[in-house]
Amino acid sequence: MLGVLVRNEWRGMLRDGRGVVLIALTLLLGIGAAWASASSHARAERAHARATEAARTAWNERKVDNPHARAHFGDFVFRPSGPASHLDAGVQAVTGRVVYTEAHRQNAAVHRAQRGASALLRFSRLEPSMVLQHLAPLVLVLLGFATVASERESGRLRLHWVQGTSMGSLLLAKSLALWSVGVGLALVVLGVHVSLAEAIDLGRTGAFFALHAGALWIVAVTVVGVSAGVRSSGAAAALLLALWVLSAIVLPRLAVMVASAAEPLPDRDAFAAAMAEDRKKGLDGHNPQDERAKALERKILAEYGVDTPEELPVILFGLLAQADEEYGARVWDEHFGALQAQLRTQADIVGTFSVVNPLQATDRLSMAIAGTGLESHVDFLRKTEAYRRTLIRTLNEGLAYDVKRADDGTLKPAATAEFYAGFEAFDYVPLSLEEQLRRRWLDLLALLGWMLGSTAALLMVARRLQRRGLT
Amino acid sequence: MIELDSVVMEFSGRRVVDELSLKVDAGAVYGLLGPNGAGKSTTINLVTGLLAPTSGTIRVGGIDAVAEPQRARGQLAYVSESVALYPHLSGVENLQLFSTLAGKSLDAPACRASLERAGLQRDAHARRVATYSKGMRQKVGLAIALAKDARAIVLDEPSSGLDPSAAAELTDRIRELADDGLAVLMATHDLFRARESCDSIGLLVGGVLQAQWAANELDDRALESAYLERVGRDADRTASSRDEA
Repeated sequence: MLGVLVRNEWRGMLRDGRGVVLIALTLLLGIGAAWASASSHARAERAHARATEAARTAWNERKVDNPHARAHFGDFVFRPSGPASHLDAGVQAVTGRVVYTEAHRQNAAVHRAQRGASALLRFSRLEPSMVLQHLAPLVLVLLGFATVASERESGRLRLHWVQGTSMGSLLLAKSLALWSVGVGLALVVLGVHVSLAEAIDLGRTGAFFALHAGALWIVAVTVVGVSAGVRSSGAAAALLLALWVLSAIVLPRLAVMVASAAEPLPDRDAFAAAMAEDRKKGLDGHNPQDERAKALERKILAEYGVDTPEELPVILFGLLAQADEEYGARVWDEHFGALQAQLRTQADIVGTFSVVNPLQATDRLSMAIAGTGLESHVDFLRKTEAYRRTLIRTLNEGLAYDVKRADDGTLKPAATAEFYAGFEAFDYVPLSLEEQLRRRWLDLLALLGWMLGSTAALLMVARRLQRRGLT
Repeated sequence: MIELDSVVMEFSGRRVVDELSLKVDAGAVYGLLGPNGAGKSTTINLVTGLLAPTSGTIRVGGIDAVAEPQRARGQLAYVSESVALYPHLSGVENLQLFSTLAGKSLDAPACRASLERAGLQRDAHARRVATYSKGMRQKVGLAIALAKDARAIVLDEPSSGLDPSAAAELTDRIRELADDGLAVLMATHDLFRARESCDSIGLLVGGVLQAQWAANELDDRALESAYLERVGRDADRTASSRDEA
């Protein structure tokens, strides 16, 4: 019975000119979104590859200099966007993917796509996730709001009743038919993605499909349930459009507003000023008059059993610079840790909205699967900072310990071109899909709950219809 | 057969069907007459299982429609005042769909034969139902009912809105259904058509079965007089009770 009813729904959609036009337009938009996203992604990746190569060349071809000078010269690190990121750009557009790493300071990420975007584009990126999370639900609402209500209004529901059609099968068939439109759209979008992408992450692509298939099932079931639960198709349309506006537009913004109000973040300047203030309280490796530097110098001289820096078998400045660096690292850990805790609190507040809004859970999971969410960005910053610390420590220690005596008896750095060539470029290893999903367990649970709950609610509506709810 | 015994239906404490008892034997056509709000449609809804009676028993093909509604529905076909079909499907496709749902799969030739038997002209079989007149949809409705192999059929105002020739054709079809051994219960306003096609006629006013006649007991004029005599007295009350319902 289910197959017969599903086929009938498909036939109805395909023979309805409005339905065909709507589906065709949405497919075109989906294909366009996948193509646009893939091509901009490819451009960005080519630019990043060129920039990475240029940075490495600049590092390798620089004259052999003082390792601390090299620490100030620094290095650019680039975050690869990942093959799934053009399914959902996530927060990458605002967080940036390039960090200039250097001694003494932790720079913010740059190269933010949205800086160059027009105001119009700022909030309307056309990408697969937007099509599947915002447009597809709207299409399902427009295609399905009257699916049961019109059966009731026309009297066909009575005919179904008398012919012995199970109301559960009828509603399930309508949900499956509607869902298949969404799933078809997702398959087309992902097909374009797979055919255009230079590299494919099958695991993430599959997870992205499964996520959206699940979310669209919730939408389809809700559309059919509402259509069956209200008296007229007009009421169903009004209610479903209101639900769409609420879940796609209002609640996500409300969640951000609530999170910002409950846990306000320091603005960028205040954060930088607080860091600078704390940094001033520590040792300044570049200032010989700095009291903390003098104390450390005395301690080092005592450790080596000498009276003057010139008698040391190491270059004192290298050790002071590293001590300066380590103090700066502690300051960064403290401030960034506090900021990260605030971000986590904000994310948790936003996450609670996922419980009531499956589209938000889908959005967060989509970013996690694509590796473009806030968690990924924080992970990138942490790994970038770890790389920076290793780089600067190696250079400072190279300056301090890799030394040779000059003819005048003073110590000089012995760094060679091979020493610098031995530094490996930053190679960002993103969080694994499993790790990303593990961190988003609440969203996964919420979505699963919505899938089961909405299906159960649909079956309850069907049961009510079965118990003479047609009149 | 269809049998109602002391059936009562109340909506919010208001009785819209009051101790209704009637019996339609296999091969017989029973016409349920009455003004608007008399309780005819409620009675039809009770027989088809769309409503459960407050009290009383309803049997279709010998099956208790209250205790076993699903089995009872299996014995019953239904043709509404305005047969609602899928407009995007042809007559054949509608018949195929609804007969499959009733557990009787028909292939296209069988559907065409069934539609022809119901009186639908051949050139309309493959056309979408959206282009059909009301009379043509009634014929598809009858074909759906026939295809179900039901033992009883309920028709709700079947001739309403039909032109005289279509109504006359429908009368013939209804008689054919009865001749095939079905019990036919028909709610109608149409006194003339009721007398012509029915074996028995019941007059429902204010939910109460006021009178029952064998159709051959009365001529048209006598039926009209009997109708007006009873309905005139209760028309206001019945209309208001329908509104309440």
